[in-house]
Amino acid sequence: MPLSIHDESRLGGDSRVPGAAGQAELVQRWAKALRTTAYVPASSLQIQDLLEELLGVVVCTLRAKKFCPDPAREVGERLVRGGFTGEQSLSRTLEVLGQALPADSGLRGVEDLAGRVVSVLGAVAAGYAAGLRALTLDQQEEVKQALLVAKEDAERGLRVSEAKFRELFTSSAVGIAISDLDGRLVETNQALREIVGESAVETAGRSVYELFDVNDAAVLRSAHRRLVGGHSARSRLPQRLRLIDKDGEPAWAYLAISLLHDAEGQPTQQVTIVEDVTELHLLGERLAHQSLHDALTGLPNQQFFLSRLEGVLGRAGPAARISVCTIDVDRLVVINDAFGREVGDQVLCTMAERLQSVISGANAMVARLGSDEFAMFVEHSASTPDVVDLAASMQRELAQPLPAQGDELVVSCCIGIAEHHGTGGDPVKLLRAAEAALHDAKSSGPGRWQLLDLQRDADQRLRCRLAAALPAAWSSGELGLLYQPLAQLTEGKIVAVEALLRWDHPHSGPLCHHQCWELAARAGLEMALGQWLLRNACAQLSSWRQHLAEAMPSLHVDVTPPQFQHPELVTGVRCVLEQAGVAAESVQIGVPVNVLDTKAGQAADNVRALAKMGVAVVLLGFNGVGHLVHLEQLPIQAVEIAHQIVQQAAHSRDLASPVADLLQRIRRCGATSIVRGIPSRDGADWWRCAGVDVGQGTFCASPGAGKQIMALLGSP
Amino acid sequence: MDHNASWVPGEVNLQIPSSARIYDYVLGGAHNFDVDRQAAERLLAAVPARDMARLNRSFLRRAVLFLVNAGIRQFLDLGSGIPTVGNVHEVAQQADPACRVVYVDIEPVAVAHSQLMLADNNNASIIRADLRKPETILDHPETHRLLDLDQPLGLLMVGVMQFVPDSDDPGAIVAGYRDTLSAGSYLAMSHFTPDGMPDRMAKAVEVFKTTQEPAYPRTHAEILRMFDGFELVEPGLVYTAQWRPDTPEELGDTPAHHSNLYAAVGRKG
Repeated sequence: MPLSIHDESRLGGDSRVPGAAGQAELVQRWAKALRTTAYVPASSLQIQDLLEELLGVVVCTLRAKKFCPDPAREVGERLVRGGFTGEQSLSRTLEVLGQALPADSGLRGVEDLAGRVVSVLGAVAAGYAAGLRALTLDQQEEVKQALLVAKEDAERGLRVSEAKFRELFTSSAVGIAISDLDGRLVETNQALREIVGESAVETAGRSVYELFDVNDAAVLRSAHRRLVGGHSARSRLPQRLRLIDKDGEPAWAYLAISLLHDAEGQPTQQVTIVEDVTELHLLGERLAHQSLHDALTGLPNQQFFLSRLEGVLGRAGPAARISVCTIDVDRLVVINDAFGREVGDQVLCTMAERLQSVISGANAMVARLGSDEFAMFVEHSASTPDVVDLAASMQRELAQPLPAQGDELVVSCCIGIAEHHGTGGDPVKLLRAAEAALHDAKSSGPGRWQLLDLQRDADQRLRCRLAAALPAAWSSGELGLLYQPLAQLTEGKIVAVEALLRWDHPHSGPLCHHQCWELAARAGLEMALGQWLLRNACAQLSSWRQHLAEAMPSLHVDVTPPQFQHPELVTGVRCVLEQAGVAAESVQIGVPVNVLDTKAGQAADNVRALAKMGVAVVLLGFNGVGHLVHLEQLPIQAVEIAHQIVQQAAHSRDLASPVADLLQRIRRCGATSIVRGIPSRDGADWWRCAGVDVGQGTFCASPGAGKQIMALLGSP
Repeated sequence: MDHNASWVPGEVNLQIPSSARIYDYVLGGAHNFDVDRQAAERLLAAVPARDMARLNRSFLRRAVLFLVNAGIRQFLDLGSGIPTVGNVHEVAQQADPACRVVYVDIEPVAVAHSQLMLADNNNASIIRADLRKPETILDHPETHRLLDLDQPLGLLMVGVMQFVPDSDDPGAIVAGYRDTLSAGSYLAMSHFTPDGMPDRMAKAVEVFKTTQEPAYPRTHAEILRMFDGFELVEPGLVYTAQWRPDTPEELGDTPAHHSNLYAAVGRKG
């Protein structure tokens, strides 16, 4: 009964009092010995209180009249409970008490004290051992309990996570397929089956790869393989892949793939998660369509047309023939104004349909380029109509009446066509050529079509380039003068020498007078070049004069229409003649008569002023009796018969009579007649008989340099 | 999220020693398994682990009492481990039964153990969480049930931050808690250091590599930096045994550097 003994010891209070000071010192030593053996969650004072109490138990046990060591077991048990469970907690206790108690003054007189101390310390140790054993068992029990709880928690967590996964798998809006490592389907969820159809997954042994387009299945297969071989547990495929949906149509999807592992961490299954983005894909397609198509008619736009044409031209072989047409609805503005834009739009849509029907079956494309302009290309084959038939059938088709607000509307179109043969075509140039042809067609009126003369188009571009190069060529001395005589047809005497421009182009070869003037007109150089021509010709004239004296004929120079109308023409001529020291009487200037027909004012003044100065004025391009009026009103010395009349006369000798009549009337007005471009002696004879005074042409001499002409003039 | 976390529990692992159970063992506890005891013996061969554990546990007790004296009545104990003797709630509630404590640990057995132990205590609770994610702890319903984050609290990170590698930026983790704490809150932290016995601590690090929690002891300066934003109370950052000992003899005959952990308490202004 440890408790009763303990109580007894308390009641017999004087048992402690005599050795109190010594025991306090012993408690201190005991506490110090225990301090570093274990962590005790108590303050030093609390520890001292405990030890003091335990020491009291020990002392009481020792001093009991009827000695029994068992109550001291409590001391060991309470040391354990107090936290003194360090490795050395017990041994230090036994050491401190074993040394101190036999010599304790308060225990003096206790019978067989040494023997009792040994027994009491044995009881303390036994109590300690029992307490520690119980504590250890308790703690092991606790930790096992804890382990059990933790495992239950984990298993519950697993069940929850499995349930969560099952829930996710079943109700997910994304498709999920679980397959083995070879791709054989183990399980699919409802969302996936809705995409690919039940039958696609029902068959046993179906592979996940069979759900995909062949090429995309290969992509997925290699992604799975990388996953199994690599370290990452999952990956997202960056590109969209195509599944085959239940209707056999492609369904676009983004994929995420992951692996399931067994307990040893080995991959066992593949999870393929499929996010159906078909609708997004279709939206994307629609946006792409909108960026490449015209919203009104649904036809491809210019960008799409050109890129497709580029593809066709790129593939074209040497025997290929590709036509590009541009089609312009005539007077669409009028339709819009008269019937409203809705009807105009309807017309355009009808046109679009009809154009497509024309090319149906051919390798061709129709596009809408602008408000009222369409384009089409056709890659010709043996079965497609040629360009002419194509244009005719287009116009036939397009000209069908179409209903408009109760009326019938007939719409016509102009068509420009450009053709390309063989390899190496440029889509932009070809379309531009077709547009140039369309421009030509439109200028001839509504409902026309025009096949572009590619040569002419090339010439046109060449001329533009040359005109642009003309100013530089002029300043670098590539321009020069040639001279061609005008001779009396009766005696062959040279009466004048015409100064002509010539451009020795380093690449395009020599360009003649007319070509030079055309380029000068494009380049805006007519006035300046005209002055330059006159100045150089006058200098040449002076040079000839020195050698030939009186035998020297006149100098003939033509002016262009702008020069002729220019207020500074006369001043310029006078200035040049004075500088060159050339008399006005030895110069004749050809002026275009048609300027007098339309803009008489300044031109007529110029004629009068030139004549007054002494310059002989020659009317160029005289083409009939209508021009005789100028001879009556203006001081004209000579007329050059229009080129058309000369041509016609050369083809039809029946014209001899009216021509002769005209010539007679010219002569009656006091003017000399001139015909240029007479090729042969025969021609010269014919014109002489017809009554022409002066002729120019190869019958007499071709254009030549100054020296050649001087030689000609110098010869008898 | 790694694969294990989502598919397989795999969290209860008795094959690999746990630092919490090693700590229990060197403190004289029996909440441990053979594998833990073997690791503890290897650790004891390298460093005076019993002293380290005892002095660290003792610092925890003194720090909690210091905070209670400073008026703190709510505690958040991160990395609380196995509930042995002298747990925070026991120390604090002995001083004032109204003290509330939320324990946090990541080790499932320690958490389950604490749950069993706290089953009847309305003012203390344990949540299983990763202290590297302050938001999961500060937003936890149990945290909100027991702690009022608008009032000052005692944040305890005793002997735990050395298990957070530099790559997880322990300073930023501490700062994450600091920024949420209201003014007047305290941080009590102790942390392994190699400063006292570098070679032996290096051996200890090798032992910890074989456990579930590799350790990263840090220097005085590195640990001091984690207290950025806190004003340290006297005597600053010192060995655990030197932090406000109850008696001059707290250490006994053990040299101070045998504690191998620095400790400090700081106040957020």
